[in-house]
Amino acid sequence: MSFSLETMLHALKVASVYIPTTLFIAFVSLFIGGIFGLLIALVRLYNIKILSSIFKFIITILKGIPIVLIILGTFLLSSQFFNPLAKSLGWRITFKDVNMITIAVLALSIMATIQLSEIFRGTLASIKKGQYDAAKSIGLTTFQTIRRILIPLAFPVALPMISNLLINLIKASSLASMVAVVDIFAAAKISANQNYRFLEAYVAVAIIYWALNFLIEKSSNFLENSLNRKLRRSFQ
Amino acid sequence: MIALENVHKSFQKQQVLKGINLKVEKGEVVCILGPSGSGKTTFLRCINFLEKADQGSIKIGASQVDFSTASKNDILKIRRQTAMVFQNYALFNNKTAKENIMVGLILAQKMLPQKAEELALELLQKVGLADRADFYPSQLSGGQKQRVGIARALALNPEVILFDEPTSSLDPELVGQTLALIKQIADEGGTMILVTHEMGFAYEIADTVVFMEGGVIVEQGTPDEVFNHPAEERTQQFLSRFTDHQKVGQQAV
Ligand SMILES: Nc1ncnc2c1ncn2[C@@H]1O[C@H](COP(=O)(O)OP(=O)(O)OP(=O)(O)O)[C@@H](O)[C@H]1O
Ligand SMILES: [Mg+2]
Repeated sequence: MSFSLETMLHALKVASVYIPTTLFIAFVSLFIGGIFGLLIALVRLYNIKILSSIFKFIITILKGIPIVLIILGTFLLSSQFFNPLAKSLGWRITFKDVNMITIAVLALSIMATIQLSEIFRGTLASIKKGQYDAAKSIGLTTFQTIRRILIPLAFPVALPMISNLLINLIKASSLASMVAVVDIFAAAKISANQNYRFLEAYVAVAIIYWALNFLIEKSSNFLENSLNRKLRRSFQ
Repeated sequence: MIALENVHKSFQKQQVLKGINLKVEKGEVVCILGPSGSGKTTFLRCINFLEKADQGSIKIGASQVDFSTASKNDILKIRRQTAMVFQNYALFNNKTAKENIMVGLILAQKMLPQKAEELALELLQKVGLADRADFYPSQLSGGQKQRVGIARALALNPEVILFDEPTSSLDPELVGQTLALIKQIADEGGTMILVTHEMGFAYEIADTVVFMEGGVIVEQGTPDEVFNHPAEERTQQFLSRFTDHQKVGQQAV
């Protein structure tokens, strides 16, 4: 089997066009997951009755499901239930009008929420009791304590795990091609379908993912260093 | 004036405070003594609402709050009129000495950041740490950390400062300077409740000495009454373990 550099470069060019799609899916999912993950982690940290055990139960179940199944499940469930729901809400759209990127974002947001809730729970739990006591004793409200004390302490510790998750989300977004989203991976496959040059296409895809992850890791390290300078000093 | 009445607190099945009554007048210094596990820390934490007492009430100035029915606002109100100095300092690790003092001023007391900074620097000056304003806790010695803790408490201008064994985590050579600072605050009219094992210091600084054991106040009175003429046998037994310190106290007279 011969390897054509030219074909590979062509695939690279075609696929690169969809880098924004992939990044969009990954970052939006990370953002949504960040909000819900933090909320769930706080509910569990403050041990809020009933909600806390409900979240614990849901997360235990979802944690064990492969992301492929979550994507396919999200697609299947929404294809079944979207139309009746839209109708009952009086919307004028049907499932056919829904952009498949939404489905991908929904599925990856579930993945991100689960992982981030665990990441935040761990880092929040590692904050020493004295920090909570001090915040309460100077008269901060719970919300001020969370926003001004807990999150600034937890975030730098969580950052490497968050950046790891982002990399995983980018890779997982390639599975979104299963629900007809055209992302980097799907675009490369489509270009390969025209000339049956799959090896070149896959190499091109690998290069793009590798470059993206390299960039993310570098910027995360940079952010981590600048954020952690204080904290590291305080733990030396 | 601060008045605590009938304070009860249990952890799981264990009853730690069994009805404590204590009145502290403005400017009064109360020292609490007692063996380990007698509930001294728990009592201070209940005053600051770091633990929620099961029963009893607290009165500070015009606010009277029942522990069992305290609302979020009541809790915040009491917390903002009391300040705690912790045995292990409990400074915010990711904030400088100055910022540790400023957080409460800006967030709880709604002071303008610029004014908060001025006050923080002034207080650091007072506790002898003007040159450490931008240092993180990890860059400070135990004694310096504790003085930042004291400055943080002072900044809030509380009705009462609660000290929980402020010097027991310190190296012996650092104890003196911290005690001197506490003495200075007392001399300036600060109201305080101080848990300590430094008998000599308690003798010297206290207006009232309280001996606690098993979750109750066994005896209370002036330093002279409690140290030199304890009425209760349990107080005598406890103090006999500190005879050396007691002598130090008597020499100070
Ligand atoms: N959060 C808690 N949960 C369960 N039990 C606790 C808790 N805090 C304190 N206790 C128990 O309450 C009792 C009194 O503790 P406390 O810390 O008030 O004693 P103390 O008089 O301050 O002792 P020390 O002189 O050793 O500091 C102890 O038996 C302790 O085990
Ligand atoms: Mg104690």
